[in-house]
Amino acid sequence: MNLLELKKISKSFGGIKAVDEVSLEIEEGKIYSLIGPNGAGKTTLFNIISGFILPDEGKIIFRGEEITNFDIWQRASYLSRTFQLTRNFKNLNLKDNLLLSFDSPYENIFRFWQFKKKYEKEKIEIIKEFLNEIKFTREFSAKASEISYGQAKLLELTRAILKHHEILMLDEPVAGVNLEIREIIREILRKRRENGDTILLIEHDMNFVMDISDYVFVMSEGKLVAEGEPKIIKNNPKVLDSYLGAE
Amino acid sequence: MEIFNYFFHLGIIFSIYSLLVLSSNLSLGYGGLFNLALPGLALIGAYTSSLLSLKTNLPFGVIFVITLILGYLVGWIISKITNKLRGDYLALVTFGFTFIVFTLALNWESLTRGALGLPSIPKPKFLFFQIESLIEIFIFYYLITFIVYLFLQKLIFSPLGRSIQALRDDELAISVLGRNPLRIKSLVLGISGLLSSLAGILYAHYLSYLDPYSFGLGDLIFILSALFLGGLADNRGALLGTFLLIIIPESLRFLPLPSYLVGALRQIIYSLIIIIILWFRPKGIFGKIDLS
Ligand SMILES: Nc1ncnc2c1ncn2[C@@H]1O[C@H](COP(=O)(O)OP(=O)(O)OP(=O)(O)O)[C@@H](O)[C@H]1O
Ligand SMILES: [Mg+2]
Repeated sequence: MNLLELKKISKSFGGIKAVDEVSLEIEEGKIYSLIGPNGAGKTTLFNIISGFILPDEGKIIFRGEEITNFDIWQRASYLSRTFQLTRNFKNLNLKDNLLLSFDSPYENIFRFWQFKKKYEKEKIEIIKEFLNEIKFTREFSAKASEISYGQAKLLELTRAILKHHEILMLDEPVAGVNLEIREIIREILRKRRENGDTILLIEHDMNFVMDISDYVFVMSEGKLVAEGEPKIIKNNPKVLDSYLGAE
Repeated sequence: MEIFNYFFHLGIIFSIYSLLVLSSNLSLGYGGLFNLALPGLALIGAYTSSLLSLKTNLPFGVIFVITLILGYLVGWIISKITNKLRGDYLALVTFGFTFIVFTLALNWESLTRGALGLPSIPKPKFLFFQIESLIEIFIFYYLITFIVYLFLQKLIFSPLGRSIQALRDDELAISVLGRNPLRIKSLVLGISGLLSSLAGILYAHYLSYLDPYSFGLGDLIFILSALFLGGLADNRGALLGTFLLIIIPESLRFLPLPSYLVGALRQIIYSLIIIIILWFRPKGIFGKIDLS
């Protein structure tokens, strides 16, 4: 069974058809990329899948169950995502930003008063281990508003990865970051796939996309114009036309 | 002993207003919700508890609990109605709520006696313990404020408090992490409502008199000023802000000035403190957050 299926999803903003009858299927354990020129509707499609926007038409199916009208927070139980414009909790420190990845039994009006710091030790260890792995060295007490752009991207990515999910959706994870961080992100994503994670990412960096993806979807003007393995996509005239030609 | 009574009186006023400022800090400072319903909720608390005390034989303890539950429920209902509203719009609607409560209190004369107010509201009594003298009230009110403070600190530094603050910083990002923002808002506005109605109860049963002007726009300005002075999202700051805004204008009384000057001067000093503090420390004395 497919993990995620979109059936003829459409969405218009005023006169613009941002997403136009897009159907696609995603299987478990692979890295998928969604590419296309600016304004192709990639982010809009992400917003529809994660529940930020309801589609005008079409269905979203997750593991055989229709979730088209679920709330954002309900879909979050199997879906993690990041944003094209990074979203962190700016007044919270890095530790709190990352602890939010985990649900706590004390996050509840009847139990919060039983909470003690020791109940989070284990989670903090998991976080530290992950941060070590990606060589993220900012101190835990730094506020999210004080860190650099690249660090903010890593912070958001880490939160999305540590949060329980069955599909990880990343909107331009390496846009604007330096080479070193791009390599770190490439490595994390590879490792995630080895561990069976399913990833759907939007990216403009063709080298990155062709290198890391198992499968590529190409959008242009709201439509899905091509899909296939990277080496096939690279030589697809439609893609060259609609995308690479436009660069 | 005059002077002692005067200090006890100031102390009691401080404890009542602390509850309102703490309540506002929970919704605005920690939750990022521009909740201007607090004076309205305080009026509801004050009237409910006063009327039940005057018109029924229910013991005060029961009235106390009923009123607090009502305060929570009204806050909860406000959260349901205003769910989609943020920032300015939430401020507008909740301010409207305060105005509606005021108008009701003023015009529903058969129940509230309107502008005549309710006299002879009894002092608090729990089981057999009648709280009567100034010092007893002082101690009782401090105990309550202290418990509320501990409760809020525990809440804020728990995972639940973390989610409340995350909601303030980014509602969409917290939804993506699986939290239902409406649930958090309902909780915050519910607790805020409960604490405001608590302040209303303490006020009415201390002064033994209540009218529709007991809580209003002036209190709203006081609450927000105290909060911005002490610093949003820090409960110690909220208490310090409240303390300073009560003490500094109060100290004018002891200057040899004609009384007509004192009133005006109080307002001026009041505004001046805020301007100076915000100029040198825009986040307030203890404040940590940036709401923009
Ligand atoms: N909330 C919205 N309201 C109105 N129009 C929108 C909205 N969101 C997206 N659009 C429009 O829909 C189209 C697709 O936008 P979208 O952001 O999905 O493109 P994209 O493929 O992610 O582009 P980019 O590579 O620049 O991020 C654009 O024309 C955009 O202006
Ligand atoms: Mg985009």
